[in-house]
Amino acid sequence: MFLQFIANGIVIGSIYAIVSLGFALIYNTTKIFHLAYAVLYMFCPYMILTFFHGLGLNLFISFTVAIIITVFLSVIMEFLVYRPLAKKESSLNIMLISSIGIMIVVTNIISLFYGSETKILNSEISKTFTIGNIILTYAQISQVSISMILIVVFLLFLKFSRFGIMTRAMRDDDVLCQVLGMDIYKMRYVLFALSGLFSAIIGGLVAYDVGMDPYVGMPILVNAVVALIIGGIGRFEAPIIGGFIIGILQALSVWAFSARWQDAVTFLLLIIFLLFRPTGILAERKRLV
Amino acid sequence: MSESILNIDSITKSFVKNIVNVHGNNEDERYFIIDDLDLLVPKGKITALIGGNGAGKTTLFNIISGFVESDSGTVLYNDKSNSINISKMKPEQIARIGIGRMFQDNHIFQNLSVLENMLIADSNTFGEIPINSFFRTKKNKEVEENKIEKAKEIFENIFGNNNSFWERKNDKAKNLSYGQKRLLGLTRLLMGNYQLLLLDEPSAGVNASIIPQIMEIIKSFVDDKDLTVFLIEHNMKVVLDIADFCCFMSHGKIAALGTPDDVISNDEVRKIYMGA
Repeated sequence: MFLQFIANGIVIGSIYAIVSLGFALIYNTTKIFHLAYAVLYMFCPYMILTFFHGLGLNLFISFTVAIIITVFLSVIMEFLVYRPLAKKESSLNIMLISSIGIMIVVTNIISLFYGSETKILNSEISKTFTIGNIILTYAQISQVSISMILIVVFLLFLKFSRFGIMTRAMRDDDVLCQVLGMDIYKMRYVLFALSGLFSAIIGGLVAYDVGMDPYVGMPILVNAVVALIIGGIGRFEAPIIGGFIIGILQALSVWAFSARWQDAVTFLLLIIFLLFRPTGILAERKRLV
Repeated sequence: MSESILNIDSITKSFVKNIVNVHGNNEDERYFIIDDLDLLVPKGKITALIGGNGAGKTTLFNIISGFVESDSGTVLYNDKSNSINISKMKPEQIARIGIGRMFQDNHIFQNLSVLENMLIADSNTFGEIPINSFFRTKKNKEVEENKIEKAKEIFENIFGNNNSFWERKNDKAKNLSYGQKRLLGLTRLLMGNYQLLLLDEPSAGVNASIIPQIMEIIKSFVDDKDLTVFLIEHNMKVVLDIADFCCFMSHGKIAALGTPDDVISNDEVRKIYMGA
């Protein structure tokens, strides 16, 4: 039974890790607390629903088109809201309030067109895969494996590619990037597209397993932000570690107490980190002089 | 004076401050940070810009490098073949046409390695679109290898073979000392295709033993690479030793201009820098 909960923890941890990584990609480079990111996680499944159930397209095609539209929505957020505000040198608080505004508008539009009740993408009973005493659905296995592939590819890309070096440079100092001739606004479009891609893929996979409603993004984003803080803000590897820690911890709290204790345990961990290690697990020592 | 690389014509920058006058009423008062400033920066020379705090030196650099837009006036950049009005250009466009800048404080990327700090400054490819990074073709690989070789050569030319920068190429730049970071920031300018370098107090805050090395590097930019250097500097020894020309800025205007020896004999300069 214990191993089953650990496996469940890894599954939910992989979701948190990817969502948190997408959030960190924006936060670390632009410092925008991109709360509207939560709606991208919810938006993709509704697009799949439209193309798969509404228009009767093939599941793979529906998934692909939905991801493209979600990525486009993410870029549109930057184009219509954040970029104009950044050019006016608006404060980060204004960006945050704008982000909340985007989130409310998109959530309400989805509610208006699709209703607020839970929708399901896959009405069949999920097929399972058994390893020893551990039982996982194929959807869960695909969540973990696709998350792992995304994480590994992204980290390699970040470490070794020129775009990766530029992303890390932007995290350090975007003004200096401009002085070296980088078009940071072009970079930002790509970063918003990448973060939207992460959210769309994992949002779609999770919704295919458990369904969705218009408010499903926020709880996931809250956990993802906690994962980022626990892992260490500023590092791109941090949300991945934080995500898996929270996922496994939540699964173990279900095993030890009950499902109602999941959030309490998560936020207790957050408080402990904020009190005793506010810089997170991957905090680096800095040279003072 | 030789041919100019930068032609600054009637640049003005001001801001409005709301003040309460003696009658207790609010009124707007305009403050001029730069006041109708004209200046020609000669090509292939080192020109120093000096002046007291608040004289407008950094604002002028910010206008030249595109971070601040002036209220009026033009800045013309004369590159090898033509004259370009850079007054309304964005910072990255200005960098791409050949104007490099080093800030006083944030001069390196702390979390990148020493080598990455050099590679990122290479102006041959910018790479905001990741598609080229995904497909590591033979050509892309060759370009990357050439950049690494170029960085190695620059380090060797400036600091000699077996230099500590190349030995520590994979160390994060934040682990370097302050002086080394400054040297790295200066050296990195050679990775770009720049013709004009704007240096904001290159010797500020560094150990006195490193200042001669910084001066040597700046001199080599002009003597060996045919670049033009325009620098803000408070250390008058540095100005006297390396600058060909010197401008003294006061209250947003050029108050004195000439060789460093001429400018230093100006009464206001002596008052600010020597208390005499």
